[in-house]
Amino acid sequence: MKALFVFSFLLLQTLAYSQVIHLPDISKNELLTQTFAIDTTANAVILLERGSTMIQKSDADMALMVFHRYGARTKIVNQEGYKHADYRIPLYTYGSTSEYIIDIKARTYNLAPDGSISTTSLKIKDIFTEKVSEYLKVTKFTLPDIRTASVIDVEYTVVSPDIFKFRTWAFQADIPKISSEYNAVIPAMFKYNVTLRGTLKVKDTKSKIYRECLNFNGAKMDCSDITYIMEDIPAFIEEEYMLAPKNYLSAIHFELEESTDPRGAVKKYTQEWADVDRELMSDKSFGGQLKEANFFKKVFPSEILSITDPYKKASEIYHFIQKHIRWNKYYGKYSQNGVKNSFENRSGNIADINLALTVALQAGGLEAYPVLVSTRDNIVPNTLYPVISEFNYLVCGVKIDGKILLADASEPLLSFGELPLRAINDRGRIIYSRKSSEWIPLVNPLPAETSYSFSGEYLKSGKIVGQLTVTSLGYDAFQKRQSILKYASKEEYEEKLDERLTNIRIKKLDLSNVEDNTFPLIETSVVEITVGDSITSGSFTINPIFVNRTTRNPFNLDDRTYPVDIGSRKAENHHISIRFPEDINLKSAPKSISLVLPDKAAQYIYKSSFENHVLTVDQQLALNKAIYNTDEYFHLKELFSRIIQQLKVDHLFTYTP
Amino acid sequence: MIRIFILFILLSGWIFRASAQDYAVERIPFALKSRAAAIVRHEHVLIDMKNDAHITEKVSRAITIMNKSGEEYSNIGLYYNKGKSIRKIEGVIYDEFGKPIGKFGTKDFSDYSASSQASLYDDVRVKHYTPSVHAYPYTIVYTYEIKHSQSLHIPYWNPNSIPNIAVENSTYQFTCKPEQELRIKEENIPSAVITEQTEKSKTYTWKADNLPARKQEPYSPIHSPDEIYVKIVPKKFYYFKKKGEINDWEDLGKWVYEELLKDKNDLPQATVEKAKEIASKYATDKEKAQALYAYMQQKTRYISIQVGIGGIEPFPASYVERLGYGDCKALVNYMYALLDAVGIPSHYCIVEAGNTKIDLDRDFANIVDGNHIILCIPLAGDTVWLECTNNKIPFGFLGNFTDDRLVLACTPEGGKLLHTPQYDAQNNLQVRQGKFVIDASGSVSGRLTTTFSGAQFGDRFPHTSLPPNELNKALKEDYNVDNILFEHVAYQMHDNNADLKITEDMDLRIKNYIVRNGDHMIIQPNIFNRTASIPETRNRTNKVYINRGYTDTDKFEFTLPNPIQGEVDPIDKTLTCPMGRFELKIIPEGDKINFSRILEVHDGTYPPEDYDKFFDFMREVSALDRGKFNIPLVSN
Repeated sequence: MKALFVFSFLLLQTLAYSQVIHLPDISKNELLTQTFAIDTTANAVILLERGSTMIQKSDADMALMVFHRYGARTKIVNQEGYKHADYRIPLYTYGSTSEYIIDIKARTYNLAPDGSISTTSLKIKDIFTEKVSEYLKVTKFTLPDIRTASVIDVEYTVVSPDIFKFRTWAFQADIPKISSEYNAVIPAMFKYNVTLRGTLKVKDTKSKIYRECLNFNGAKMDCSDITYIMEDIPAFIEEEYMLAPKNYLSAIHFELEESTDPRGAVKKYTQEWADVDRELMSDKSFGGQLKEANFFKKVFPSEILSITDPYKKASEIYHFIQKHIRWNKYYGKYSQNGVKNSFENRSGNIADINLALTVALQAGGLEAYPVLVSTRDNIVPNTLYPVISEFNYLVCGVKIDGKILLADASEPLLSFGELPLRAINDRGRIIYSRKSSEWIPLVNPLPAETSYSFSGEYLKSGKIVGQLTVTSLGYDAFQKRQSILKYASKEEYEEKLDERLTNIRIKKLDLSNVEDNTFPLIETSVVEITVGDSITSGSFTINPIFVNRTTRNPFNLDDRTYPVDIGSRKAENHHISIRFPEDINLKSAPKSISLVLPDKAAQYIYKSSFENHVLTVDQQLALNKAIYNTDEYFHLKELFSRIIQQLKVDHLFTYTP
Repeated sequence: MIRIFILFILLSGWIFRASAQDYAVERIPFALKSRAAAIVRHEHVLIDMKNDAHITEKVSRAITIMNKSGEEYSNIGLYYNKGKSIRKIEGVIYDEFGKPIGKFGTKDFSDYSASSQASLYDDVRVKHYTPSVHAYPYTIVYTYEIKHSQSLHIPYWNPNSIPNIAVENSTYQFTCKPEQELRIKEENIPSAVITEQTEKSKTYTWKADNLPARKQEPYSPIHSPDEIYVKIVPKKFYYFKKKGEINDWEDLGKWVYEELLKDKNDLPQATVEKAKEIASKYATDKEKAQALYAYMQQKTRYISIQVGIGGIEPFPASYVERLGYGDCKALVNYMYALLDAVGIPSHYCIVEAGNTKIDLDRDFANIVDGNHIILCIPLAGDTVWLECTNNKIPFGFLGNFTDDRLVLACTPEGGKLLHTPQYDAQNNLQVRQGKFVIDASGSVSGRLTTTFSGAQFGDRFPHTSLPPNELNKALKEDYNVDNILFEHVAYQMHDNNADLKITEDMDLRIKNYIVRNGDHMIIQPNIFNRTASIPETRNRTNKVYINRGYTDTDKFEFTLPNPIQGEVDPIDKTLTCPMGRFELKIIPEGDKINFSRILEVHDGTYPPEDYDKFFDFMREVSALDRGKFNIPLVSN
């Protein structure tokens, strides 16, 4: 797929068109200005930023290359802004070709005591290039002589062989910008999908045509020249519980849609899903892997094939693949080693594992399909038209009783039908065949749920003794399994748990289904709770929500800009029952309450009763959505605030000896 | 030819084949399995010192991963740089029964830069391998060779450094020429070294068998008392084209000064003049130093660049002058040069930095100890310590990064071990005072003033440079109370000579903090400073170590919306234990509640049996900190 665009190079010729941008001369005013109306608290401000991208013939590479020219002038307002003088420029390798950087120029301007402007230039020997991995090099430098009020200019050009996808131009960054201008010069033989993301508006777009900018095999070709200008761009501030910042940052994204060769033949890249479906299914490292059904038929344990219940069969095949191939920590929608090879060597990337799962399910006679996913730290996929490069992950969809279940075999502790949090990002594209595909929401069927159930007895010594059962389902179970298996043995986990819960002594702990992820995880323990919560004498108080009592508000911000994404629905239940000696009476108890957010987006119920010397407390908290909008943030904040209030009230008991 | 070939195969396969069945998990002695996430079945490290510049480290190791918790120990990460090259990595993986299930070699290792995000450049790289095995337990057996081209930094033997790894057997061998002089330090070695000498070589062999995994306990001393160590440094060494002879810290300090620091104070004449001009405005050396420190702080910034000789040689002062940045070594040297320009002597000091206080090994001079550089100015009767990588911190403040530990001052006269200042419970203070009004709805509002000093100064000082929105977020973490709002937050520094303090003033309002229950109010008077209890340990084996002591004081006055109905008993409690003291006074009277809380925790090392006392103390403190008051009020 990454086979690069090779035109017959010798026939190419770039005409005298080259617009090298340079930053304007520095003015004294820029050095004197220290506060900016756009953001008076900014540590650094980009005064102006210019970028341009053009496709040109490169003699050095004997190929058509993309030239990304970048220039920025930054004001370093104070010492906290010093880090904005550090540059790290990633350069990627695509197969045998790599990106490289040329024409780095950087200068620092300071105001000298005599009022003149002093200029210190970056020297070549102070630029470092580090090979991070096979696929990535990073050019790093920092500017010399940085002080409070310095202004810095940085210019460089990245030359890239990647014609398919331009570098995204981000108008917005973590510091404010006074102006950001981006210019793309594209020969008429290429057509790109251009998408502007984010909430900010482009102030101005200028477009013109450059006549005969490229000579291709004697045919002169025009170039389109478009400039996008944005001004007064506020800093982007990240918030908790949000999707990847890329989704909200104002930026322009480019994706190659089609190219026309000099003879007029059009090659489409990503235009219709039908094209994508066909291309993917014909690709050796995608659809090609789905031809290995016979291999999996041979390697299955015979008992799997004899299962008749389709759910059970699918689940068994899922566990078979899950246990067999280990994830090498690489994402990918394309197979890296091939499913057969991955199975034999027990190691593969995400696509290897989940394509193997797909083909194994097919081999088992089930209807299974690959599902393209863009991970949570990546971008939410564009649903207007296919942008294939946005997808970086793959899961499997299997149809059972007419319903599609999503499965990812890369995590050894995940249950069948569950996705890891990283794969939950809006929707995925399920590829049915060379001709058909559709969007499918990426959600986990079960909420992340934990239930605490306690039944015990109050002893006059001031202790409560009884049995505590903690049941975890869905994503909660997955996370808990991971944390339990970090310990070398059950005993050590018990020890640590006991240490952590200081007022609770765990006497005996039983764990069920720690590794068997087809059933809920159940922790049963005999516990002894020291009740010592009150400092007033005479009577005593108890707060029966012993474990995991909400005392802090997870939504404590005063402002919220972006939706709250908690990954999955959540539920937490407490059911407590305590028997008291007959001479102990309940004097006062918290009121039973029930709180519901609009549209039942979240719910809280607290019920307390004391009958026949038995105190029963039921508490249920349900967050019924995975994503809440910004208004709902404040509803959640208020809900949690009320819960905290509710849990501040204790049960007051009196005792007359 | 064929015969040689066969012999070669036999030989290379031998190391694995001969011992294959030995890796069956059932052969592990039962006692070693307790608490062990992984077990070193066999380890052999041979250091072959041919001469100063040619040292071969040959390692063979077999490690059984018992379960998922031991997974990380199956990873092999080998670091290398200009003075260190890796060769001949090969390995085999065995299943539970000792049957081979896979092989690996150099080509299976990924190779990447070991430089951290924080570093602009670092020439250390790493070769890394993670095996793909699904079923536990399994055993990974491998050998590799590392060529070292320097002799100052030879790998030590520390077989039981990781608490949850048990060791079946480990051997460390050191071979060199008979005339080679060595300095050797042994700690906790289970059996005496065996030495063999021939005409051509002498060999030292240390062995350890059946070392069980250790229990990890909270508040344990930094180094476990049974950790085994053998450290070897040749008396005469070669290090990146430099030679030296070291017997003690004095020699090492001298060598660093002579070889790495001397002539690096090459400030341009203009800067020397500038320094003199700045200093001329002040009378005392301390004032001059303070003014030059301020100059250095505004002129430079910290950028980590690790190139050249193992990251221990600073860039010269002219480099920092030209670029305006440098790493800790370069910045300390630059500050040294500025002081030198005005005739104030100062010392470049090697320190092991970090929140945990780690001393240099007092009786074994070596270059491995220490990871940071600070500057010491020995003024008469008043030594000043300078951290040079922070643009903001006040003159003379070290904070919990380098306080209270042994450091090496590298001077022209030789190395000197010095001790950095300590902040103890008496001067690590947080003093908080507040006056609050409670309204009829249960909301609390008032003014809060807190003063931080000692190491606690360092905790709060960074707040002073936060922009308003960040400060608000940080305060929401510090005062994590539901519905809290801050207004008019202001910081003030007090720098009375050595007594550095920062005061935080703010108005605050906490909506619905107090729950009304009829005519009663449920109040938790300790709003902000609720200590967590500490983990319980059964059958404590380690001594109790408290790294840094402190004293926190909270005094609040609450005014109630209505007077208290009848009498409510006051609280007056004092708790003590060897590690600390707690005092709580709550006096309800009229329409006021006066609350006062003092918690002192003393640093130090205490016997293991005292842990229970500390635990009980902290549990009681934690319960009292969360105490609720049910106050009946006169109804309207």
